[in-house]
Formats: sequence, C-alpha cells, structure tokens
Amino acid sequence: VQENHVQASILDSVLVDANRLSKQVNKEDKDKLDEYMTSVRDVEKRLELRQRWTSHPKPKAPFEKPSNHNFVEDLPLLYELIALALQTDSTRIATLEIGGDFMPQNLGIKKDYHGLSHHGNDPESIASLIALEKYQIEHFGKFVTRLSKMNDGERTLLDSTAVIFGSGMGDANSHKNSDLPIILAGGDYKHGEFREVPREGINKVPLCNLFVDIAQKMGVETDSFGSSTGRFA
Amino acid sequence: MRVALFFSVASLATAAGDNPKLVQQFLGKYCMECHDADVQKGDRSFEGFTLPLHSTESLIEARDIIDQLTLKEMPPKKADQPKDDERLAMIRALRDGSATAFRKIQSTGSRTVMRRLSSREYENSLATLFGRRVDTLGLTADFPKEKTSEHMDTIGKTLVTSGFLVDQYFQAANRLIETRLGKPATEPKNWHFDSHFVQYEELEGSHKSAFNFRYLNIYEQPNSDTRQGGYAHIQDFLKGVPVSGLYDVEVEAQAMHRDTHYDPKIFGIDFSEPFILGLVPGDITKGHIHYPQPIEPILATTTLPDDKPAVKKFRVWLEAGQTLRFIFPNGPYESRAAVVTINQRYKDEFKGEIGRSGVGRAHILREGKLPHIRISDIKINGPVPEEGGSAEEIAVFGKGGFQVDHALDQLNAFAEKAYRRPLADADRQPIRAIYEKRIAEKATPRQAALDALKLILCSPSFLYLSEITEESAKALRPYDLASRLSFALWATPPDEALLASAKSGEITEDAELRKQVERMIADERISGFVNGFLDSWLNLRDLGSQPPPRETSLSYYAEDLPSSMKSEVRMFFRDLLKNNGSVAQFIDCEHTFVDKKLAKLYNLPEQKTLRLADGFQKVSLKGNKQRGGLLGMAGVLTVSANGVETTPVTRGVWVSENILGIAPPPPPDVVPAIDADVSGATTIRERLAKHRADNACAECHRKIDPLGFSLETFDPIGRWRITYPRPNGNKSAAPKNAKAPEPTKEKGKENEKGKSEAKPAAPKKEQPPAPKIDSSGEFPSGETYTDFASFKKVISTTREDLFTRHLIRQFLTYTTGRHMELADDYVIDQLQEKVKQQGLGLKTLMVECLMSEVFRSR
Repeated sequence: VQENHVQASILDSVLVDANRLSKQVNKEDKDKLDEYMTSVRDVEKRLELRQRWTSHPKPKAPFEKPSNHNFVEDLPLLYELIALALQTDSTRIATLEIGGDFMPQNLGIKKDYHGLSHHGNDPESIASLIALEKYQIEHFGKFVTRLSKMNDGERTLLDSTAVIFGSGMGDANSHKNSDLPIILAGGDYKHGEFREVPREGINKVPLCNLFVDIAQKMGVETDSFGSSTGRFA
Repeated sequence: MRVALFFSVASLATAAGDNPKLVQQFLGKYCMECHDADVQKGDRSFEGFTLPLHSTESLIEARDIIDQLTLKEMPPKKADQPKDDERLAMIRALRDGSATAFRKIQSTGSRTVMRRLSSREYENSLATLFGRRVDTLGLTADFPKEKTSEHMDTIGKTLVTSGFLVDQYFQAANRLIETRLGKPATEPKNWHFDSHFVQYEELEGSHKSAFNFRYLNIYEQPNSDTRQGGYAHIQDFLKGVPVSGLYDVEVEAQAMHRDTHYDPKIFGIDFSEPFILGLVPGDITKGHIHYPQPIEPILATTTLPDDKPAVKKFRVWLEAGQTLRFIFPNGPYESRAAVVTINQRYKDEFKGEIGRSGVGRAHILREGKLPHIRISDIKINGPVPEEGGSAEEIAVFGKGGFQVDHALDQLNAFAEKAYRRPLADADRQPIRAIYEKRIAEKATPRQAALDALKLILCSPSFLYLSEITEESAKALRPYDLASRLSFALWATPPDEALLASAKSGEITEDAELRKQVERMIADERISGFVNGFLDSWLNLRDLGSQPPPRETSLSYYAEDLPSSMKSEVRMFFRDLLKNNGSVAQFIDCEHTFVDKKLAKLYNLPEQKTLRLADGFQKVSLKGNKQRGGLLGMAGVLTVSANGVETTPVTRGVWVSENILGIAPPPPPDVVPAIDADVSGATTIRERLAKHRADNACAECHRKIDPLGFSLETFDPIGRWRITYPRPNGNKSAAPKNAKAPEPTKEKGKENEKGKSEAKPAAPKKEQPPAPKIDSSGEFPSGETYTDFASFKKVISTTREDLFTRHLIRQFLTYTTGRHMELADDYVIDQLQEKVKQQGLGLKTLMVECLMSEVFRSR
C-alpha cells in the first residue's frame, strides 16, 4: 500500500516532467512523449484497480495447490483453473497457449510436436498429429461443457463468455497462415454451423473481423482491429 | 578536412549534360518494349521516367533500374543485350541523377525518432549505475518482448511504450533499490549441510535406500526433457539467504563413474571431458525448485576430479530469498531414460535381488556405474562485508555512502549520471519535491532518498534518448552524440571519458570523435555492440526458436549447440574487427572459430585435438570446401531453416535479404504453397521446378532459388550432407478413427515408458534410396556454380559491392536507431566507395560510418 502511494507520487511527477520535455523536443518526437504520457495515465488506472483488488473478497480455492507434472497431464487442470477464475470473477480474460512444451511423448508418441507439425505428408506423422490434436480438442470440449454447467446470474457462464480456439496456421507443413481452423463457442452467438467466408477478392473476410465483432459485443467501442475490413457477420 | 573531401567527390561526375538524352535512348532501345504504358510488365512502366528526377517514386525507380542492370537481370537473357559500356553509362547517369535529386529532397525525413532504451540497454544502464550485475534480479523478466523491425531492436519508432511497461519500470526500480540499498547491514552467518539431502520426489525412494540422503546427486544436464535430477537443491536451505550479498561457498564434490563401461550412446555426452559443476540461484517462490527458472544466471563453474572428492570454493552473489542450486552442464541427457536402458542391457551384471520392475536407480547406485556428480558437504558463509560500504552504496551515493546533510546533492549527482547530461533547474525541482514530500510524510531521510531514486529511474530523461536540437539544425549536440555513440558501441550509458569529451564539446570535432571511437572499439565492452548487432543483422536472436527433432539432432540439445553456434559468429566478427580484416571475409574465408562441439559438427580434424576446456580456437579452413564465411556457419544455416527441413526458397530469401540487401517481394496470395513431402517421390528441386514453370512464379524464384540451392548440402542445423534424409517407405494411410490417447502418467511409469522407447524399430520393407542433393545453380545474370564453394566464388566476384553496401546500411540502421531511407543512399554509396578504397577493413567501415553525417545527425 505504501508502495502504491509512492508510485502514485512518482507518476504525478514524471507526467509533469514529460509535459515540460514535450515542449522542447522536435516535432518527430512529440508522438513518442505522448505515448509515454498516455502510458503513465494508464498506470494510474491500474493502481486504482490494484487498490480495489486488495479489498475485493477472494474466493476460497476448492483444492490444494497442485504441483506441475507436464503440459499434457496438466491440460485439464489448466482448463479447470480458467473455469474457476471466470466463475469467481477473479478475471474476465484468460489465454492458454499450447506450444512447444506440449510434449507428445507424454501421450506415448515418440516424435516432438514441432517435428510432427512439419509432417512432410508422412502418414505415420499425420496419425500422431491427429492423435495429439484429438486429445487437445477433447479437453477443450470438456471445458466448454463445464462453462455451460456453471451459472452466471440468469444465464450460464458459457453464454456470457466468448471462447475461441484455433491455430495460427492453416497448414503447418507448408507454413500456410491462411484458412485457419477456428472454433468459436459461447458468448451469446448463434452456433451449430460451419461458416466459410470469402477468402479472396474485395469481399474477403479476415479473421480480424471476428475479433472486432467480439470486442464490440464486449462493449469496446472500436470498429477495427489489425487487418480487419469490417465486422464478421 | 575529411568532411569537405566527402562532399566534393560527388560533384565530380556530373559533368555530362546530355544524361537525360542518354537515359531516354537506353530506355527506348532496351526497356520500353515491355515496360511502356500498355504492357507494364512486372507493374513497371517507364513512360514518364525522365531526368532530372523529381519525386521519391522516381528515385525508387532509378534505384530499381540500377539494381537490375548491375545484376544483369534485365533486360532478360532472350532479349537484346546492351553493350557493357552502354550499360555502365546508363548506370552512371542514373546514379548522378539520383545524387542531384537526393540533395534536393535531403532536408525531409531521415531523422531518428526519439527512442527509449531497449530492455537490454535498460538493464545494462542499471548495472552501470549501481556498480554491480543486476541479472540475478531478473528485472526485465516480465517486460513485454521487445518489438523488432527487420530484426533490429534499436529502432525508435518500433520501441513502443505501454502502461504495462511503465508500471514495470516502477516495479523494477522499486525492487532493485529496496533489495540492494534498502536492507539494514547484516552480520555474516554460517550454514553447514552434510546430510538430509532430500531431492526431486522421484529420486526419494532410491536415495533413501542407497545412502539415506547422505549425498546430493546430479544426474543430467539442466535442459533435459524428462526431468530427473538436473537441479540439485539444498532441502534444508529452501528459503535461501536473508539479504542480498556476496556469499562464500565451499562444496565437497566428486565426478562419479566417468569411466563407466556402459555404452556412451545411452548418455549422449563426451566422456573424455571432465565433469563440470555449476552454481545457479533458485527461488521457491518463482517456480519448481527442480525445474529451470526465469532468473538463472550461472554464478560459477568448476571441473571436478574423478578419483576422490575435492573441496571447491566460490564467492557468489545471491539476492535476498535466493537459495543455491547445483547443475551438471555437460551431464548426460535424460537420466530417466538412461536408467531404463541400463536395466534392459546390463541387468545380468547385478548381483542383489532384482525386483519385479527390474534394476532400478538405487540398485545401480549401489552396484553399478551410473555417471553422475556427487556432492557430500556444503558450507555457506555471508554476506561477506565489503570494505567502505557496498558497491551499490558507493556507486549511487558516492564515497562514504548516503549522507543526510548532502542528500539532495547526492541525488542530483546520481540523476546527472542517469540522464547522461548536466541537470537544469527543472530537473532538480521534482527530485527535491519528492524528497521533501516523503520527509513530510514521516519517512526517514534514507527512505526518502531511495524513493527519489525511484523517481529518477522512471523519468523520461532516463528512459529515453531525447535528442533535442534547434528545429532547423541536424547535427547532434555533444551530450546526445556521446549517448548515441555509447549505446551504439557498448549498449551502455557513456563513461566518464565520453562525458568529459561531451562537456568540453570536443566530441563533435572529427579528430576527437575518431579518437573516442577507436578507444571504444578497443574496449572489452564492444561485445555489447557485437552481440546486439549480430542478433539484429543476422537475426541470431532467434536461434533456438525452431527446435529440430530430438531423434535426428540429439547433440543440438545434449551439447547445447545453439550457444556454440552464436559464439562462432561473434568470435569471427570480433577477430575481423580487431585486425581490421576485409569484410569480404564474411562471404568467404579460410579460417573460422570453433570449440570442440562445432569441430565435431563440422567434421574438422580439430575434433580430435581440441578439449572442451580450450573453448574457441581459430582454425584454418584451407582447402575445406564445406565451410568458410558466414554461409558456412551453423548459426546462420540453422536460423535460415525451420529446424525440421530446409528449402532453397527460405534460405535463398534469407541470403537475399541479409547478405545482399535485396528484399524479394512477398509471395502473392493466389500462389499455392510448396508443400513439404517426405515420400521421396520428388525432391524439393523438382517441386520448385514445377512451381517455376509458371511465369509469374518464375519472375521471383529465378532470383531467389539460385541463392538457396547451394545451401541444400547443409541440413537444418548446418551439418554437411550429400543426400536428403531417406524417405519413409511406409505408404499406408493414416488411421481414420484414431482415439485420443491417455497421457502416460509420469510417476512410477519409468519402466513402461522406457520399454517403448528402446524397442528396436521394425525393419522397413524395401527402403527406397536416399535422394542425392544437387547443389548446382544458375543466377539470372548467367553465372553458374556447381556447389557451395563455387557459389561463394560467384558472390565474391560479382556481388561484393552489394554486400558491403548492405552491411553499411545495416550498421547505420542499428547505430542510429532508424531505418535508412532513400535520401541516405547517397551517403551510403560514398561510404562504400571510401571503405573500398581503404581495403574493406571492418574497423575502417565502422569508423567511417560513425564519422559520417548520417550517424552524427538527429
């Protein structure tokens, strides 16, 4: 708390400093100082949030702190942790990256993940890849089901949470980053269909359009994100 | 004198007044057939192109034409070719035209945007200001990953600031100041450990039964995959030391069974080398004590004797709350698997009763020859008192430490160092204000001073290199030049000598600047530049981000090859710089630097004579057709592949961008990707040939692919090869209804897992032969080569100027913190000419660049 107080005083002071500096610098540098000042104001907001969090009643953990095993075995536990954090409103955002430390050997598959993703159309590698991706999808499915069984006021937690699952590559073998496989669940969308959108030409719909959609649904006033060309719908 | 010379050279050539006519005639004769307003082949129309040049677009066009004519890529081979003197006259005319136009548009752009310190510069600055290493604190561990621009991490425009980062700046300053200056002096304490060495839970059973926790054993190197004893911690010292400080450590340890009769392949390491013991910090609040942790600098290393235990002494720096952990950097890879394999292959050697699951670790420890490090006794004493106060106290407050009566003077003196310039009243005022505010809030004077230090470290004057001049002026002022020079060459704030030179103003004079540059290049701290620049220019930073499969590249992991690969490039660069060797040696060279690991990877005769302890040695490559120059270095060959397979396209683009400085356009959306295929039906060359049959594809690939074909004789981690991997003969389709497998539980399944790993692979039926690699190629300009060596010859003889110009461009980009623009081309050309005349020395190149207008301007 003392720390927050000192930090607040410092932020006040450096803001004055930056303002003064901003009057001296050359024109190409003004934007940079603006960026700094905006950041300082942003920290002031963070301090407020931090303050609020200290007085916020914390939920009791329903189980003992688990120890790490490996990403494969821990995957269900991580999903459970996210579900609980969302349920108790300890956070409203969560991301989970299944990356290089997902060791297929823990599923009894001998090759490593990165090597398998460059499968070179080798049927054996593709079979392994299918097996390990199936494992990932199954646990994603369990997570979504779990959210649909939790209450959030009048509706289910799934209704109030947009869940997106996917990969940054359409085909890792040729390193193609178009035609991305994406699943969207919850978030009060109309579900149950496979949507294919134009991928070329002036009507093409980049994935970023979906992000704009989600942001707007969450109450963020924005009409663009990254390479978006509009909304998804 | 020099500057004057530099400008007059340019105006010499523009004597010819009929250049506009010459250009029109040349275009009409050789280009317009395809590049008129109607056809516009390659989206190029030269209909309105004429001298004098007026716009930036026309300058770009001129540069394009020059490039194409220089490389003889245009006009296309089947069309009428200009005679050599025609071609050269055209190039000359265009260069002159560009130079004239350049001067007209010179006044716009080409300025460095005020840039903040990058994370590494920030950490270096704190280490300098506080007089001691700060990497043990991991201050920037949670900072957002720095954004780079074309691999450069010094570009003002790209180094963005966010609320998250500014918050981190405060947290880092707070932690640094409180841990290093905020704790009261503590009397030294003694700790002694010689029993109850409980380790990783999976080792508990075997260690209890084999020696009742009497020893602390390390079985494997820290980066093994399936962890089992890679980090040895002290169970009764988990909370670590009470305060940051220097601690004396005495360890009694021994190398066990380095002469083991078990097959060395089981362990994947070099048993001719003595075992190395390393010390790293650990923190139970920062993660699993047996796993790698985010803050893990190596504190000390030593080699261990084999015959009997030896007592080794170290003095190490530990932060409050850190405990010690021991590692075995050259230890076996994956001890868990090794135990399983020993059980399978050597079971019969054991006398004692063998349980149902076979010979376990305890059994092997009692009777067998499992290689490991055994620690039997540890003494820790500290913090060791430092004479005259801690290094931080003196660095921050000066001799004698903090003094209440001079608090503000001391704070101002610190701020002057942090801001890298003299203070104005407006700088002193907020420092005084926060100090007095904190006193009024009943803080002690020392605490108030510490809080004022935090303010200084969050100030934009510390975090940014603010280069302020009159709007119309371009030349950097003395202090700004000193800072730019210092961060460029050392990645640290300027030292006293530089600041003195700035104070007197002399630094802006040629002779003095040259003197400072020479001094700084000769200093050890130049490694700050060499490492930062190579990470930026060649993207060595990304080395290790594309892991190769373990089954084909075990040494990459077991011997930590990426770090040796990086060292080779750095040593080579530093050596060239020291001797002012020609930059042409980056393309081809008859020596390089290798340690024992790289000597093995490169199959050099030195693999038999070098010892690991020798580190890196300069070795001759005379007559070696596989190595020599950057493109023969494993670091470059690895970072230009994806870890799993190579393609001439990816490596070709890499060479084009990073060696020749030509960025090929990105592939158009509509072109199908080239799919990797291991079936053996086609080689990558055949698939590419098909791809190039399409004219639109060929347009770019005829330029890219020849730059990559010769490198196909290197596998994804830079090993020489003459065939591609044998294709997988198995043609059966992937099973459709694969059920998601259950995870194999780690605990207690040691044996089961091992069995599946060690099972001999089923013999493949009718193995197809491994395809031979064809490493020949032809440039669009007609030169041909047959292999890597003759490829380098082509580059050396025909593209050396392109390379030098690119190196100059990259050097200026890195050191100024902005990308070079068209308006800089003129100066770059001049620099290249100048460096060439003086023999292409790397040091010459750097000095000339740092003396240039571009570097010295805002």
